[in-house]
Amino acid sequence: MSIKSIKKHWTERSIKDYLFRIVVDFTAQLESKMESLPISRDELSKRLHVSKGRVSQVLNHGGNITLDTIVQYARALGMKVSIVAYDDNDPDNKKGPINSEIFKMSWEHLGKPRDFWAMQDIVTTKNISAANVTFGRRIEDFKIFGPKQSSSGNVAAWSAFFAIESFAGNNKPFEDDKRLPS
Amino acid sequence: MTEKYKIKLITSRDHSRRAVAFLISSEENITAKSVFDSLKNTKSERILLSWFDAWVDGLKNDNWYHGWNQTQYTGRYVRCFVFKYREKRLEQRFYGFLCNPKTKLPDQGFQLCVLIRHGSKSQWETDENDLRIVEEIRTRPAVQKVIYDYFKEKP
Repeated sequence: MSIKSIKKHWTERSIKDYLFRIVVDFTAQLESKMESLPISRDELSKRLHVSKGRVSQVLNHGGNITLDTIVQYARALGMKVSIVAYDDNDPDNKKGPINSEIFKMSWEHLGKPRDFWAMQDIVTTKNISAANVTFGRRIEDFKIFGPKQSSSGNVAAWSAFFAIESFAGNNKPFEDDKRLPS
Repeated sequence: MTEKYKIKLITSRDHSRRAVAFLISSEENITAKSVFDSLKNTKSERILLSWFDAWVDGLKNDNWYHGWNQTQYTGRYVRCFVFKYREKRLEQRFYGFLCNPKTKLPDQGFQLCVLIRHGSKSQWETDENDLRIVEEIRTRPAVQKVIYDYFKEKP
């Protein structure tokens, strides 16, 4: 197969495209949280001390959105933000970014581990073979270096996205999750 | 003889569950592809591409896209589908239909959304005329043929 025949995902056209897509994933998570609380755009604007127009602009994907804004909006809804870089064996970006909701659901499904100790407990007690593959390198690093040095440099990532960590709600099994397609 | 219809995939052909495509034709009712092309590198294009990704990935979000069930319009449009967004204070819609173009196991469940028509309006409610047109186009043998030929599995 020639290089020209490799069709790349639209987010590979430019950094602006890539950013747009991950911001869309992020704002979808905000809106989902706003719906579940529930909280209106008006109330959110009051919590953030910004105009309702600015809230609408952010939620409607208008203009640039900074990391500051991302953290502010998530915190205003009682949520947290992580930046996760990952290697999905798609270096040419033919498939596009993985939706941040997938990472959030996977984390919830694992029982919302808070640290590497909890992660190790899950892997050990549940004997999760898939987790050994997925988290294998990280757990291996953890065993060698301990938690403080374990998380850097072990993801060959060129791509990044923002995952929201919400501490509200229960850990539901996947089959009951209304976010999944029927 | 020149084909009256063509389809063009806008999402990856490699996804095992779903894909989005445009029906291309010079007919005046088939406008989705030309309108989408006019959006190139705009916020609206990026929104639509993000919605397509989300639907292909299996995310549920009725604010971005949805179909119609048996209880709506007495079930006449259960194969119809819409992607929606807002631009210049107007509701924008890309109407199409869902089909299962792969006939062999294990791909029979593969779902294709074929977009046909663009609509722009000031009210939220669906204009049934758009759905009627999509449904009429969906059932044309020539349209069905071009879709199934595109996905025809090699023997």
